[in-house]
Amino acid sequence: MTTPTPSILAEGVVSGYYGKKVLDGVSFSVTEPGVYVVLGPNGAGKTTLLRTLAGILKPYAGRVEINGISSQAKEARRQIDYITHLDGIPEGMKVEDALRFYANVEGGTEEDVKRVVGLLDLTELARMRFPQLSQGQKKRVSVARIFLREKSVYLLDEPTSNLDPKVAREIRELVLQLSRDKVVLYSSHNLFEAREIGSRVIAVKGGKLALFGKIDEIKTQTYTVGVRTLGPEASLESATMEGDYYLFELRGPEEVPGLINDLTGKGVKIREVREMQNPLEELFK
Amino acid sequence: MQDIDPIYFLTPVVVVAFSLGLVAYWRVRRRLTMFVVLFSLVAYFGAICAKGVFQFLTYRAPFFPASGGNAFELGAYFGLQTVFFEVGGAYLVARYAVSQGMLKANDAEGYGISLAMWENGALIGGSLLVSYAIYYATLSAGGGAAAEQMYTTLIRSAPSLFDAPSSALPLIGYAILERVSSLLIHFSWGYLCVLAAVFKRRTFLLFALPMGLVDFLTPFSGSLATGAFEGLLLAIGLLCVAVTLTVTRGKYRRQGMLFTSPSAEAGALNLGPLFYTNFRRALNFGRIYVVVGMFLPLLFAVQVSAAGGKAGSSILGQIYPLLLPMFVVLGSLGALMIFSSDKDKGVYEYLIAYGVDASTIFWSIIVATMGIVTLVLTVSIGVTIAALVVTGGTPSIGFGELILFYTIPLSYAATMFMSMAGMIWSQLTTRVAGVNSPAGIAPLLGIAPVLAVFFAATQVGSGYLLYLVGGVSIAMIWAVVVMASVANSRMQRERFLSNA
Repeated sequence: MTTPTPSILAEGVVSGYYGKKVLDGVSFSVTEPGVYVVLGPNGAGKTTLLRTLAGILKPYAGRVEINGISSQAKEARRQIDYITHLDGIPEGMKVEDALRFYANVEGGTEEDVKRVVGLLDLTELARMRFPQLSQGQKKRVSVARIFLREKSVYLLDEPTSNLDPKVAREIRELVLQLSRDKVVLYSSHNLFEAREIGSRVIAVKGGKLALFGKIDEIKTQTYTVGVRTLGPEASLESATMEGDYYLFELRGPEEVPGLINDLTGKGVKIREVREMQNPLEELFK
Repeated sequence: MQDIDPIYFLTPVVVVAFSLGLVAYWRVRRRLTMFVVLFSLVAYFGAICAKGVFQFLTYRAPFFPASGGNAFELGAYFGLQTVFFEVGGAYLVARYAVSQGMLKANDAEGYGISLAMWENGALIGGSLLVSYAIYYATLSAGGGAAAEQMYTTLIRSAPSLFDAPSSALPLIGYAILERVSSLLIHFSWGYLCVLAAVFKRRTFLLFALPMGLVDFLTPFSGSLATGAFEGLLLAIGLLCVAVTLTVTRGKYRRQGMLFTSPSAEAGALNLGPLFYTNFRRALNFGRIYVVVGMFLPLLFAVQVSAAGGKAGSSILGQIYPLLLPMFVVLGSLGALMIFSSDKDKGVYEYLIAYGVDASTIFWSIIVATMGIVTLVLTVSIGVTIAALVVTGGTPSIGFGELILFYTIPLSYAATMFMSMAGMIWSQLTTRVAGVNSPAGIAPLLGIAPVLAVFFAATQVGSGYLLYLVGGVSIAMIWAVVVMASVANSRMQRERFLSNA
């Protein structure tokens, strides 16, 4: 029986910028379709890993292959779609012109542009120029680009950052649809988002592979939120405080709406609710 | 002798216009490659030739019953030929093109539209236009034997050509309608043939082949009322399109909910839009510079001409060609500005991820720059010559020589050099606001060689100007080619990443 060619093969990859190493000896291979969440604290090398896999950075050592072809070859790059934190929309263009530009470069058609405008609900934005859009709208347009043409490997660098929860969820659903028969690497610094979307994790720490396996292997951390009220609240006297925030330990972000309901039910006047601690900080200690 | 009414030209003009217009629309706004147009040309005219040979060999053959005049047999004779030669031929050509990787599923519409264009726009519309032009020219000349003979022939074979315009209009409308039906039918079978070849689905071919039987109706055109006949053809055309869209929709569904086009993996990059879009954006981005580059020399020209009459024209004739390259350099800054902006926005990161190489990115900017140079030079020189003439001056030979041998070569060479050196400068320097911007250093790089040639020419004498300009231009273009080549092979790709 022959072993299937991995969709992504990274073997002893050393990579970085201008000769300075950021990744050091990263090895893993991905064969089955699905969402693989690339986790790591800021500066761990997540973006560098995705850029190296995308063939944008040439590894100083080791090899990267996409479906058995070196990632440096154009044929490999044609099998990948990729987004970074940058929107990549040429300045001065209208939204639909920008999508048309990328579709045309990739040999796509007007039909692809229309389909994507419908898929990402961009109809109202289509004739607007990019600077007129909010940060979230810009991100939506940027994400729309990856749905223009079908590829076999998708490298998505924090695709839901700056998006409101509703749009973020819609995009995660689209990514999940993609992952039915394609490999998606999805970088995030949010463990709870990772749990929602992926079943496997590629954890990077200090430029090295810290973990490659099932996401359940990551020990569950408590999720702490801080609630800031308009004034002192007698009903919250027993709660721990950090600065102006009353702290609550939850199992995950999905419990936040329940907490808000409880508090407002008790007459607490909420001014702000925020995440007090990034579970990944604990994970990578 | 009566001539044909020019109103008859409406039929071929409208048919050619909508056939070519659709092709142009598909080329610009949707997808229609030159390969598709060429393959459809081979498929269509191959089939027409094959039909011609077949009919030559069989139509008058004694064993062939169709020649006896039975309309049903004759209809089957024409219909089956179209099935085998036109539809079958379109499929065979599509299959070959698919096997060579030159035709993809998203070319299906273009293939159908192109087949229709060759039939309606070229073979029928084009030949009708030429024929009518010959009839009209010959008959309007009148009198001669040729005109007499043509009139006699036409009054027998096509008497309706001499009808009054009021009775001609319905016939023209029907003729155009027939071509619309033909367009729908050709589009349908062309579309199905490509998808049958790409997805190896015989079902699509089995739906396409019977569409050729539309030519079964040919012998019945005289026996049915014109309106009914054309209405029937249109209904068949619409039915073909409906069947085509219905049977292929299932295939698209099988491709998945998210994508309707086939995977991009096997397709080649289409770099035309990169070049075209960069030119358009460069014009828009640097419009102030383009205006400065174009209109300052114009104002200068008009002012000097108006003030000095012939003397002014003479001064203008000497100074203007020497100044123009400097304004051209300014006018073409827009392309460099989009290079800087696109790099910061991450556009190049994505293009490189798609497989676009560094030299393509550089050349797309240089080509956009050259486009603007051409625009500025054309408008500026054209209007200046007009201003000279209007104010009573005549462009002298010396003026023409300066434009040809100094202004034009130096404008192109200096702006090419400026663009390439500006881009390399931007790539190699670390980010310091205002210093590594190519738009900041570029005018210096572009204007310096122009000024150097200008002053060198005053030292060595005008007799050496041609050698001087030629030498400097060649050196700058050589430098551009070397920089592009070295940058492509040696420059690290991280240089294209945004600093943001």
